[in-house]
Amino acid sequence: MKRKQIKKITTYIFGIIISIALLSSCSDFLEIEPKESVDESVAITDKKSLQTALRGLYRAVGSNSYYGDGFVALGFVPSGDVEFNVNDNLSNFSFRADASEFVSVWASIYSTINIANHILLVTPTLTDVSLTDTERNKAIGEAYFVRALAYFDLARGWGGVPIKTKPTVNIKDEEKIKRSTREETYAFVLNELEEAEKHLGNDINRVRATKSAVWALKARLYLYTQDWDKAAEYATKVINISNAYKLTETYSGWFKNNVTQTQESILEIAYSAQNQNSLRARMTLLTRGGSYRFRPADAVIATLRNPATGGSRVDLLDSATQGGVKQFAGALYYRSPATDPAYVLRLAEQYLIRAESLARQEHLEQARLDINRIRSRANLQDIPTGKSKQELLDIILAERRLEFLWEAHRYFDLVRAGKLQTEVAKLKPNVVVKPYFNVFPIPINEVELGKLEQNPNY
Amino acid sequence: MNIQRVNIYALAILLHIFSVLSSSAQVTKPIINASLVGTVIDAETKEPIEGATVQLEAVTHSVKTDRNGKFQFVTGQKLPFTATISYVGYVSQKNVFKTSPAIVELKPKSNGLEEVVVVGYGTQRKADLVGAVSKVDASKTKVIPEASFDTQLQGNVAGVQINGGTGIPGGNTFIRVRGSTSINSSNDPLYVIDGIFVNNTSLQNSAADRTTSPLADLNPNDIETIEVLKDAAAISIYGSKGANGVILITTKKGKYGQTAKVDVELSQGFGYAPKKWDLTSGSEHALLVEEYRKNEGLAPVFTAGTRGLPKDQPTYDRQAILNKTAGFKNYNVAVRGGGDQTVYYIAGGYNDQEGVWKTMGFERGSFRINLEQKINEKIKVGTTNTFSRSKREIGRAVGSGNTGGLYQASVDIPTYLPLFDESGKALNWVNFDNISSLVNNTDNSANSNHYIGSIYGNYNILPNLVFKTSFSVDYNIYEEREYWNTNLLRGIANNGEAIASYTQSDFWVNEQTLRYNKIADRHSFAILVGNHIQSSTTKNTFSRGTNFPNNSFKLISAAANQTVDESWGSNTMLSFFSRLEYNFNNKYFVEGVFRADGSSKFAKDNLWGYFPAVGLAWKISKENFLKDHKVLNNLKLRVNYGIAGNQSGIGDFKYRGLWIAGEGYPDIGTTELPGIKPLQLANPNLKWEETAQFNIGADVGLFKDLIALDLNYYNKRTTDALLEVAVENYSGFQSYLSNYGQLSNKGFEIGLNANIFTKKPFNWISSFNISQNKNKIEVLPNPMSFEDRQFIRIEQGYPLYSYWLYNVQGVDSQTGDLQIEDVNKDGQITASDRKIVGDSWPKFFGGWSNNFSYKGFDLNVLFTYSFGNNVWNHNRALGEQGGKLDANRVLFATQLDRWQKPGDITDVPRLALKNYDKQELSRFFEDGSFLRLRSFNFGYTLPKSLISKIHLDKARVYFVGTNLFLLTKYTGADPETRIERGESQNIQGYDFASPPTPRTFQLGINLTL
Repeated sequence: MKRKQIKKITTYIFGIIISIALLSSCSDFLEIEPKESVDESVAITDKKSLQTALRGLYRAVGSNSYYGDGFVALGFVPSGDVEFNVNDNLSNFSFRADASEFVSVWASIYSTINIANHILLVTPTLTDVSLTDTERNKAIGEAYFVRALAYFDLARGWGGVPIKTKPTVNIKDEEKIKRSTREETYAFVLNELEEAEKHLGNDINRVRATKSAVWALKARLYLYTQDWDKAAEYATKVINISNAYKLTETYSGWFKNNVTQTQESILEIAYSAQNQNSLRARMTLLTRGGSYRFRPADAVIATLRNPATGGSRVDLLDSATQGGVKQFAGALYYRSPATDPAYVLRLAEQYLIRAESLARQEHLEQARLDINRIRSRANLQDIPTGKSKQELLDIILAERRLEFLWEAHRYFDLVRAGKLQTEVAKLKPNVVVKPYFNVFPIPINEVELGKLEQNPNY
Repeated sequence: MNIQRVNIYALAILLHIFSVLSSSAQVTKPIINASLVGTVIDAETKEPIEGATVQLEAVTHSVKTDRNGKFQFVTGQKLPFTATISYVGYVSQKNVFKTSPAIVELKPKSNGLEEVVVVGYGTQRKADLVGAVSKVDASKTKVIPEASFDTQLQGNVAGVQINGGTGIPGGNTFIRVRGSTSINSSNDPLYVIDGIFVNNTSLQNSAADRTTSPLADLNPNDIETIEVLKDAAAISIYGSKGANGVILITTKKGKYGQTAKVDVELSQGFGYAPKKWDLTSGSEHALLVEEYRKNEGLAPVFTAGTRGLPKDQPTYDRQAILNKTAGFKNYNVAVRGGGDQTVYYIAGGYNDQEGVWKTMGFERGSFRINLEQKINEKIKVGTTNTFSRSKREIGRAVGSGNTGGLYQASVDIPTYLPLFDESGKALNWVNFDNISSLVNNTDNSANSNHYIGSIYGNYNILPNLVFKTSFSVDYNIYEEREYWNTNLLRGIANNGEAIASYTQSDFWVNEQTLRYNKIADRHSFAILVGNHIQSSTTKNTFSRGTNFPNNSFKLISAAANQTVDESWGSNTMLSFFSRLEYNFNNKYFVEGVFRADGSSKFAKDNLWGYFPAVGLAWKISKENFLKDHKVLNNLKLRVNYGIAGNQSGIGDFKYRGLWIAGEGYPDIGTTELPGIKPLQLANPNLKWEETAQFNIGADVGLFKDLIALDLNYYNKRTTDALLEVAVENYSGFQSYLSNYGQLSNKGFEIGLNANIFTKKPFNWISSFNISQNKNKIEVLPNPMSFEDRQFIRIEQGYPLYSYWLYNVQGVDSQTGDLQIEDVNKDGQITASDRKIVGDSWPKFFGGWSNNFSYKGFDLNVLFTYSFGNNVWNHNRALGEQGGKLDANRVLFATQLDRWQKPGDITDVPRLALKNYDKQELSRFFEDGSFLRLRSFNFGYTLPKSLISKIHLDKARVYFVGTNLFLLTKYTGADPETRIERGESQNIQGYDFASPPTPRTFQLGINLTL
């Protein structure tokens, strides 16, 4: 009995010791640190993490719903030139506030802005001694540029939008923001570009924002805001950096044969085997392993295949015959793996911006020379002298249509020219393009949740 | 504070562990004086009963009968003996033995009330239950050719809605016990197998649209019974894990004193898809396209010079290439038995189920060893183990990026387009694979190596104080392999692509319980305390290779481009629980449960959730005024209320604001360097979702239990619902996880069991159940939509799974134009005119099972039904696009009913762009009510006289047919098919590209040696 009691007591004591040991580790047991991700408080703390965040910012610009497909498609599909196989909301102008085409792009652009907001807030406060002033300024300048680009793309698509300049950390602290007007948004973009210009140096880098990219985007912004003087001025600034930026000799020189970062490129988004460009799959034919979502319309195929009107831009088309049927597709995004760059700013656009601005200001001969610079590169005959201002403007619009067939331009150009209805009607007589389709609908969730004012008639 | 309380619990439990270790066993030896030999037989069938207990009065000694019902006693007493003879399912009786040998006849219990039911951490007599528990005998359901046992339960349990029928063997199951309590947290019940908590989350990684069920790795043949715990009193002991109901599985075990028994079960059969999609022929397609083009003023495309005239168009049947007759094989061998100190169950099984579509299939080999050893009279240890290897052929119904989708390749391509050119080369159309290439080249599979096992020890410290400790593991290595060669679109895109994905799910639980019970006079107490420690870790390594030398090289090592991805997640839980049971005079029952759960998924201040429950039951039929009532022989009233929590299904680190890497980009040039971006918004206030449940129920027995009724009404309310709350997208995020809103589920369940005909030799037992669940979102400040077309919407005042559509009022018989309700009356149809037109919940659902027996023949016929549910027919929405997509989409045969001339009455509008510019139309939201002959099981047991000559105990041959008959108005392939997607929790009643439930026929034989 006695032995048993002693045994019992020792086990009880042993039990208590063990249980204390166990329970002191009990709160540790319920604390687990993630391994795939890091806490936001340590996301940007020094030079290295700042640069990591900057790269994430560019990746966001190139994401599927922004320059990796969604936004670019909004630019070239609603034009009458592209049929969207299967889901035809854009190509047949069924613009609706509940259509996912608009919803995902909107969300994607704003998540890009949020990263830029983080960088702009934190970078001035970083105390890492290895971060030089040049590097700090460059980071700030790049973030300003991306934010400018993002708001510019929002404004040209949706009109005035909510302008958010602070990163979102705790959603409960967020106040609702109203939509600014389109003028206010463009003014904001200009201000952002001024800031970017101040902070960026003169280096040349075709996959990151540089001062030349700022000028090129400024030229485009002034074109959209019809400040012809300034548009021509900034386009000229870019064109004059002739040691860095030149038109490629042939039209396809800027995209064929797996080239990247050609001399024509002012800013392009780079892709890799890990992060691929989703435009590729959606553009290419089934026989090349694509999903063939974008099908060029018959009219634009005919125009491109006619040497007199298409010239060497016929290289924008791919085709294959199977079962006796010839199918056409775009040829701009074609690589495997899909490392095709997303072309954000190209020198050819600067020539056409300058041409348009000059024509608007009645400098018709100079405008003609710029147009011919682009036409001759595409193996097309020069425009003869003697064209009126309106004729030249029409020619420029037609040039832009083919020059940028698979880039984010045509819809915006038609809206800018006030010709969306008339030009689409020529190509798709059965489709009704309502006047209010000049701006995209605000996604319905934003209207319901954010109480944003919807664009008229949507 | 909380930790302190928890500490006290833990301490108490730990102390008992050590007191167990310190105790030693006592052994007693009987003095031999006299012996008694006897046989125990069934009073009705006169068959011997094996394993019956014969307990001598006043002695602790007892024996069990052998396989011939014989027992032998050698004791210190002298004749006559008084002994109690008992056996599960029979009325225990006290006999006075005056002579030896003796024959004892045991009477079977007239109904299930005496049967024992497994509840959380213990067992209870069904008659004494305070909670709502349904028990299913697995032997009836296991013959249904579904890979997973939970799918086999369909129609057998009131209040449990099961929809397995995707026609994809080994796929996941939609199962809801009393509705859906959560929006973003899991709605699946908790599965506990022999006390082992198992993980039922799909580990499928690469083809997210093909979620698979880890429960299919368990061999249904090893299951003895399945219990479904439904109300607060029953589930609260599982605290946070029980909010969606608990499914307890008990596997087969041997019995002490039972000679070895060998069960062999062999069955084989086939199945096929009972319905295909009805498509237009080539010339019909062409005619409709031309009609559309004419109406739109477009030039014809089917002309003599181009594609040929409409009437000359051929028709190609792609579905014929996809479908096949599926073979089923099921072989099982099991041995069970036991000695005085040991019981065992050893079983092996093989199951092969082909899909009714090519490139889909499920194959499983498994074994199980259950073993229990008595160390002495007080201590026993045991182990349960099952290891299975399952191979799934992962053909996809819907492709990712439109490649590899079987449905799309076989249905979505217009029928006039040829499969091959003259040279026999496969042709690709629209943006889908060639079906012939696809079924011949698909090389996708998933192997699961799955171990579920436990060790446990039981110590009877005192005769009525039992300590139990257990450690259990659910370990699964899920290996996916895909190879896309250059005959497939995806292979062409990447010049060959291979994927190898390894997912490791490591889930372990350690538990201690201490149970004490005491009967004093007319008072009966039981108390249970315990703790629970759990850890779950899931790791994945995903490798991908593209650009292969040729189609013969299939390993990633041969690829020119190789990428690897890795993911890791882990969560832990710590719980303490207790239960107090009390009853007075077996008439008034009270039960109280309390559980505290701590979860690593919440921030420090919100770690702990506390979940109490209390239940009362009253056996009214034991009161004097009802005693010996002629009609009403049993009446028990049950009432209970409790709170359960929920956190399963949400991400491991959802309360934190996190940034994720993998967003690489070059600094200059092309070399990619690392990049990061925000992943999710922080919510430090994230806490437990809670569901309070009230249940009132009655058990009624009429005419000596010839008719038994089980009635339940429940009311569940979920507060602090875990929800991915949509936020303004201009914040840079689309949603964040928050405790937001409230949900309710109210409903009733009626189970009716009637012994309609009991006179020998013909016997007919009929079981019918009907349930209703009304789900409603009670509080939700802002509505939210799901799916890319925003079909499904959650909105305050409406149930989950509500469809947000343009409400079609009809087709104008004069113009043929679609008439859509102008909800906001602004004169035009915009997104603001969408509204909730209905939901996918049935008004009623259930099953009706009939058992007939006549001499050696037996027949079970099970019907399942659902009434008042709607199904979104996505296939038809995409297949009725009015001809506007020309060669880019098939036209369903229903398109032929279009409006053609004034006066036509139809619901298919005139072929014009404006009538077909939207697909989100209520006309594709169809009535999905159905009545299905779920299974028909006919068997014949050979007479004993015949088989005993060949040394068999039992031999039964049987035929099983499933899904032999379906009555429905639904126009799709099957009203029970549904979308197969990873994010599908909130997307239900959505029919997209799923193979229909197969119709199957099987023959089998069941032998006992």
